[in-house]
Amino acid sequence: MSHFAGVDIGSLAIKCVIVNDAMDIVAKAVVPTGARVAQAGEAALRAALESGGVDPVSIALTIATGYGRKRVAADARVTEITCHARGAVHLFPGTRTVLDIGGQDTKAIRVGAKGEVANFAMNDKCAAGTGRFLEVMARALEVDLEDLGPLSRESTKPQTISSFCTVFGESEVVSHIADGAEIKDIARGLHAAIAQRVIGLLKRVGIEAELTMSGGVARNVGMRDAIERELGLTLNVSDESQIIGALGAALIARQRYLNTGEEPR
Amino acid sequence: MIATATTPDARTALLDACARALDHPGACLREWKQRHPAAHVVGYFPTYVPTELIYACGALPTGLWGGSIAVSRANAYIQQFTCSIVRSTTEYALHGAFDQLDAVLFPPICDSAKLVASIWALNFSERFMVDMVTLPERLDSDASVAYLAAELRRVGATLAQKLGVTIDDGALACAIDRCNRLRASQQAFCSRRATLEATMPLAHAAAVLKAGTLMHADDYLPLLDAFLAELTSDARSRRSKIPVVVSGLACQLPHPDFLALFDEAGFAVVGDDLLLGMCGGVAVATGGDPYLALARAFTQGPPLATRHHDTIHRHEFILDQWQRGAARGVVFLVPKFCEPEWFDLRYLKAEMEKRGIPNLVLDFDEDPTGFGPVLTRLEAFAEILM
Ligand code: SF4
Repeated sequence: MSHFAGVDIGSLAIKCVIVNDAMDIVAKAVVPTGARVAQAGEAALRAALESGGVDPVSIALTIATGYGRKRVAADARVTEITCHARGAVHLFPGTRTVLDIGGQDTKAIRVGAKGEVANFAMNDKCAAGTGRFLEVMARALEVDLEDLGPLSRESTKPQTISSFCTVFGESEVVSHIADGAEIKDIARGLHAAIAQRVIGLLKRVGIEAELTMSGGVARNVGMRDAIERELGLTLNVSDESQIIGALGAALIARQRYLNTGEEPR
Repeated sequence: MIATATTPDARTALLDACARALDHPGACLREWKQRHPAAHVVGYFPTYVPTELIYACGALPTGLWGGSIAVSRANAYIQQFTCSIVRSTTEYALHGAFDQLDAVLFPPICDSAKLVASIWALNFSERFMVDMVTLPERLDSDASVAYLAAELRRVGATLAQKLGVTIDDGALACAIDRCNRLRASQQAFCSRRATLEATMPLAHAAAVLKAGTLMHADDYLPLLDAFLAELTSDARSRRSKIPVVVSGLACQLPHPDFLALFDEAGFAVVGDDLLLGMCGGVAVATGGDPYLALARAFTQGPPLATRHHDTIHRHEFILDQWQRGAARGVVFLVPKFCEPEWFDLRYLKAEMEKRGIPNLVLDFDEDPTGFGPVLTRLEAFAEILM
């Protein structure tokens, strides 16, 4: 049996997914990106192979995606936009819009029924509206990043964070702390601020249900709540949200291999 | 359908001269002044000023393009939410980079350009003369033509007086002829864009056109004409590349490394209007009143984000390029904080979408770094078009 690998080189983590001929996920791994991207990419693939007991020789095609896609060995490279769309539609076939909030950038993607990209928008160079914004704010609030979402759910008196900018946002957080505001209320305000930012991005491509969220930040319940509140719709979120890009890459590898009959490596 | 070939000599000679003009504008100006000790140099801000008047004064017209300079001193004069060309040109001016110039002419293409013209007039007029060529808004009336002819007469007289020369009819006719030949050759270059693509990627083609705004026409034209004369078609195809049209404001270009990403992402740029404001335009009629002829030619020039016609529309030019180049999509390059271009963009996108033409918007400034996300956007667009 042939297998197909997708490796998503993100700024903070490298995700690897291996699928079989029948498009089932047979193995996956997530490793930190670190400073040596090429080696970390290989380590992610090795970890996935080991976790699923997959024979490396059975990998017919590997596709790399993500911001570091050109820095790792692979048979082909596909952008994270196309891969997230493909992965999201595979998990939620009704998906017409994908929101991917990653560590360094955020993408809004409109997709067709087969997972093809119809339109997309990405945030600019700055960290506003990305996972990095939350990371900086969690540090300012002295809480673990993972706790930020659950904490915000306990808010009774949400604070307003009016700045999208990470630097100004941090100053606002500090002044809320100085004014004696509760951390849970500030956390709620932070999620609302990002939600407004990413909804602006979504509106650029047009929001059509179903909306699937991918990327590491999808695991943050506070973030999901904030977006759902603003949009008045329920998001599709999978336990596999972090690996949707890698899954899409693996599925595209499979599709290309089967369509073109490319020879195994 | 076709690819092209020229002997490496004509192509190399042209590209080398253009690269030098762009990379070392100060040194090139000094050399030119050494070769023409009695002549003057007049800078002009994009997009349109009548370079014919500058040539008629025996001076070298040279475009002021700004560039990738770290802006610090200019922050004291211009707010940060202004397009990068007005900030970087002002920074260069504050560093004395334009002190070799005898005069600078500005067109009132937008509020930012008007702002920078008045800042320069207040701060630099002891170094060089600063004047504004006040262009008419309406292009379809005889009154506009008459008004502009009078304005051009005023600008010509002021400039000539400052440079200590006179503009006689013979010199102006000669300058008009020179600029007509320059425009014709640049337009021949542009109209063969699809043919050119195989041997000259977008970054180089844009450099060739841009250099034409810096070099003297007598130095530049022989190189361009030699290249064009040898540009032939051959049967090699661009089958593996995706044909697109690139559209953007005629007064600011992205960094060459940004333009090179089109190649890296697998695009063949088969049409563009990037420097239409500087190089486009109709031939100025000869015989008769030269000022009236210049004014009439301006009002008949192609529509731009900074020059709107009631009857000729900008999207028609893009659609024409799209059709002729059998393009699959359109990429809009929009300078950050450029009001005229963002204003046009909404309508241009709507026209494309009405016809089902896939399009991508990329914004840019003169920052020479951080092109990774731009490449991702271009590659994702290529994946849509595949
Ligand atoms: S880039 Fe736009 S805003 Fe800036 S000077 Fe040119 S037209 Fe004006």
